Amino acid sequence: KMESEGLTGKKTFSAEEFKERLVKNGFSLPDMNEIKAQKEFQRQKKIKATKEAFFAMVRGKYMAEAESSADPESSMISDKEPEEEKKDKPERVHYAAKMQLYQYLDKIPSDLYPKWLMYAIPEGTKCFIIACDGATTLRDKNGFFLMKINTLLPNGGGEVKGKAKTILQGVYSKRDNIIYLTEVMMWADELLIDGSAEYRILFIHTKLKEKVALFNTFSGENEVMFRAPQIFECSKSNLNVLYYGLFMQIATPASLPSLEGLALYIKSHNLVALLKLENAELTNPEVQKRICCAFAYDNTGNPYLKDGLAFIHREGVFFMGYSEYALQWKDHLVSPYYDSILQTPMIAYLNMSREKQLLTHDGFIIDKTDPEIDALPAGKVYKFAYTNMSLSDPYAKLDDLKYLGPSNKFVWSSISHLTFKLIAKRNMLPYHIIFQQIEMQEHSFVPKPQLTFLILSD
Amino acid sequence: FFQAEDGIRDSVASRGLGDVYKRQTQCLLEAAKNFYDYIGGPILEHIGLLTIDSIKKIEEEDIALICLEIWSCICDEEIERQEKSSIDEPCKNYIKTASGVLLPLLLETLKNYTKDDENEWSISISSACCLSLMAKILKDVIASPIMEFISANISSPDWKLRNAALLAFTSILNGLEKTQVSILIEKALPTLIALLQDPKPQVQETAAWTFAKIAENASEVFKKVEEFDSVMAHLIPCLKNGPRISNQVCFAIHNLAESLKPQDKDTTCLMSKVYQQVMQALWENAFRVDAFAENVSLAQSSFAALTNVIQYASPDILIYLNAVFSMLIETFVKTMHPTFSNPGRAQDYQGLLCGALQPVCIKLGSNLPLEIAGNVINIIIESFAYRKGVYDEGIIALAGVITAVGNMANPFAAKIYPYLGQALQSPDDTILCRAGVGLLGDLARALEDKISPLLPDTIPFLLRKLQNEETERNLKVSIISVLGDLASATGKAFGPYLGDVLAMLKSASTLSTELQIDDDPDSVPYIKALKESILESYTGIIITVKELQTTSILDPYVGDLFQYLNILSGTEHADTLDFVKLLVGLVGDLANLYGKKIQPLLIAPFVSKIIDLLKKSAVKEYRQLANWAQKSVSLALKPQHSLIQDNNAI
Repeated sequence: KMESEGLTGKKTFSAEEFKERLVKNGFSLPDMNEIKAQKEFQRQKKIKATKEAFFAMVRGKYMAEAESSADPESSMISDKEPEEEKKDKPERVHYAAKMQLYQYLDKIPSDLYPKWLMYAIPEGTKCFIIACDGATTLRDKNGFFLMKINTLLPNGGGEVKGKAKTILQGVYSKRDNIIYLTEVMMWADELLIDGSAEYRILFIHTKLKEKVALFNTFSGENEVMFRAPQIFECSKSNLNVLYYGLFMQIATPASLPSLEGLALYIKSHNLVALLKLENAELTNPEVQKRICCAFAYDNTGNPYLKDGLAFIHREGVFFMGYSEYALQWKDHLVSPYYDSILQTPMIAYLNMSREKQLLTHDGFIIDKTDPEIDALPAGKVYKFAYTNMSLSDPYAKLDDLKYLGPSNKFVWSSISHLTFKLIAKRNMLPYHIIFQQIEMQEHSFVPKPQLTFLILSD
Repeated sequence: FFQAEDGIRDSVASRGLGDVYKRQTQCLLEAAKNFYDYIGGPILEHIGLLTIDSIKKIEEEDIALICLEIWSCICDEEIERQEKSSIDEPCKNYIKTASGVLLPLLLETLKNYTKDDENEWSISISSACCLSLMAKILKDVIASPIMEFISANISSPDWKLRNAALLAFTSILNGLEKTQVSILIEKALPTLIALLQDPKPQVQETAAWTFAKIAENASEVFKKVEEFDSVMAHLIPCLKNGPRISNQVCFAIHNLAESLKPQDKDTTCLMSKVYQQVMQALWENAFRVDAFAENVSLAQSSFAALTNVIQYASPDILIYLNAVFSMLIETFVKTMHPTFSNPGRAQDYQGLLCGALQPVCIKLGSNLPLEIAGNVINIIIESFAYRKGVYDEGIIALAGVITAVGNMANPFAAKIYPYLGQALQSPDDTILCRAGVGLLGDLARALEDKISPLLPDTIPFLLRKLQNEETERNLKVSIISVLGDLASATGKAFGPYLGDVLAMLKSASTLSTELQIDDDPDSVPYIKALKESILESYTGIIITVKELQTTSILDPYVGDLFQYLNILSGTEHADTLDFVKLLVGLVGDLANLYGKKIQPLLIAPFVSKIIDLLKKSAVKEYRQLANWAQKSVSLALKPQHSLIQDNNAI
């Protein structure tokens, strides 16, 4: 009975089972067929990898096409990958809030002429450019990683220069793949932040001029072009040129082709919607003015899209954060975003200090009564909405202050950001006022008597 | 059960009923395998008494083997439970309890070397097996008694004891920590080398086998220059010994080459120093008179070692590769000549040479001169004529040459096509047919759209093959995948076949979700491979559709395809990112291709689920893919004409 019940259907411990045990624990020679199967498996794996690379290549190509046909603003370079962000964190903190940033112009300095310089700020992402160890890294003002490329900056990937480091500040235009340099902090290990603004700007222009051809070609060694905005002294005629762009000159029909050139540029770069030029006719003088005002010219004589005007004090040293000697001003003609900024609600990014004070970046203390705001943890940046404000240095009062949520910014609002929209909405600082002020300063300017050293010869 | 046991035991005390006793032990084995949780306490004692008694009486070898297997099974179970360390299935440490009795017994059994040529070393090897499993569980605890055993016996005048010491040595390699093992081996190395020259061939064989094991599991020791030099200096001459020893040495070299392979940026590795010497010795070994001895194929193992040495060689031996290459080709020509030294084995050698040609070609890659590549192809084709038919190694070697030459392969393609056809059409040889399908895929990748003249014949044939119920299922998987390769390679030319292929893929995908995992454990990897090949094929086809500039052919299938992706994202395959990446890639491709048209499909929750899953991957490429897919999906989901404001400026 046992014979039939207990053992039917069950294998007895056979030679095969024994062999299986040996093979499993590595006590037998590897089977030739197994080695062959292993080789085949490796081969398949390799083929899979090649296929994957091929798919990735094709996908990259299609993505580029899709992006170029889509709305150019839809994929701003600051959409970062979250893990990139996470990995980036320590470095991000290191680079955060190290840029020199423009305050908004809220009152006109009394010495614009002759102590200040000006240029048109190019449209794009304001960024830090760090060239060292054979690569160039771009970061935004909050320290976020933007991209890593090869450039011809010293030690920036294209050109090897020992261990030298170069740190610049500029505006990256994704549309043209150009970086417009506006500041230099260090060039090939030479520290320049103690020099005057005039000296730093001259330095950039000289360096760009040295290799103007190389910096203006795309290659594996130089993956973006480097240019710089043209710099002007703050005189009324210069301001006119900078503000109106070519408009002052194209009043004569002979220079019309360059207006058409701009129109072509607008079309080819998908700027029609941004500049609100749908159905606009080129013969209309208002449209001509709008187009011309939107562009300024860089050091190579090519046009670029403006995003406001910058005023820089000639003698200002480099300052991390918001400097009183670097100002910006915008209106609807020189910035395509001006109108939309005005339409958005007023938002303030404020820091809760350790002493539980709500601070702007430049140290103004904001009144707060809401217990909800009081309860927020210290040492972080938060987002608020407000409707109006009043100032009494060092205090500021924001009306209807409403907490909106936490923010990951490292550079929060300065007081000029809070006042900017109010000034803009009430149109308190239009172009003609600045123009008049400069005209006045120019008119009343008396050169100071200069000390002259006489070297007496015998 | 145990009462019955005792009864049987008493009744067969005289051992006259050997067969009954054997079956009874067999029952015990099944019990140990299936009822681990219930064999503790007194039952374990019982098992101990019964098995230990039987193991001691080696004259009944069969029963002793089963008893050892009982303990090995318990070890297996405990190793598994230790790794899992779950509360439901705790490790009950039976082995630890039993080790006091078991260990001395196993060490004693190791000495009983009863080898004949037919069986591999049976009882002693089986106890070594059990010992190594015990070492895995008990780790350091077991090391010192075993070390004592080794040092007591390794230089014993009795060769059986020396042999037992060697076996004990290898069995503890897995149990200890790597650094400990390294120190141990370093100390023992001179002795081990000396045992390679032992007067007894059996000991030599075990010593060579020990080296193969060390090279496989604990190769750190050989990464030191001095140790490596002395080991190689003694191993290589041992190739000339008898076939069994030489065979083990081959595997030692085989494993060494793999474990000492250069890292990514290394320009040289230890193997390069002895490269020429090793190659020469292996080559001679492969062609020695007794290369095809009974039970041991020295030619095969020599070539296996040779192939590994080439495959894992560092860049600095590239200069020798051309010489190897010409050696391979010359010999290949010789095998087809009537004067070949071993005419009876000519076909075996051809297969082996082809097997070695493939890695050399891939290693040379773009360094392979075109005329030489043409030469190789000619010779292989010649061998097809010589053997009056194609053979799988030849086809695989052709695929290797094509992969190496890449898109320069066009001039040779026409010559290969007839043989490719022969391979694909071989009715009863699936291995050959699979090699043919592999070659077709390689050709498609290398030649891209230049392969399109082949489509009119091939695709209907492959589709018929898929419909045929007799076709082997793994072959079907390869065919589905190669259809995708052809689609992505030929682009527009694939257009006319898209309808048929898509219909086939649809039915294949339905089938793949309906297939049940039966008792057959092989069907699990099969179903996964099937699904992977379907996804790959769809990916290839979408590339074609993109190039056709019209999606009308694909339109009716998109809904089903999303449904399929949804189902797959919920299966157990979606636990591995290798699989998820295919899903994500396909979702991204579809989003890219259709854009806003498939918005309702793209908002399905599984889409964001799989993308998020892949984003957490440790592999950079996968993360990039996930980001790309997310970008494509969000582009497709975005309402038109929205203008993002420059918030940074405020």
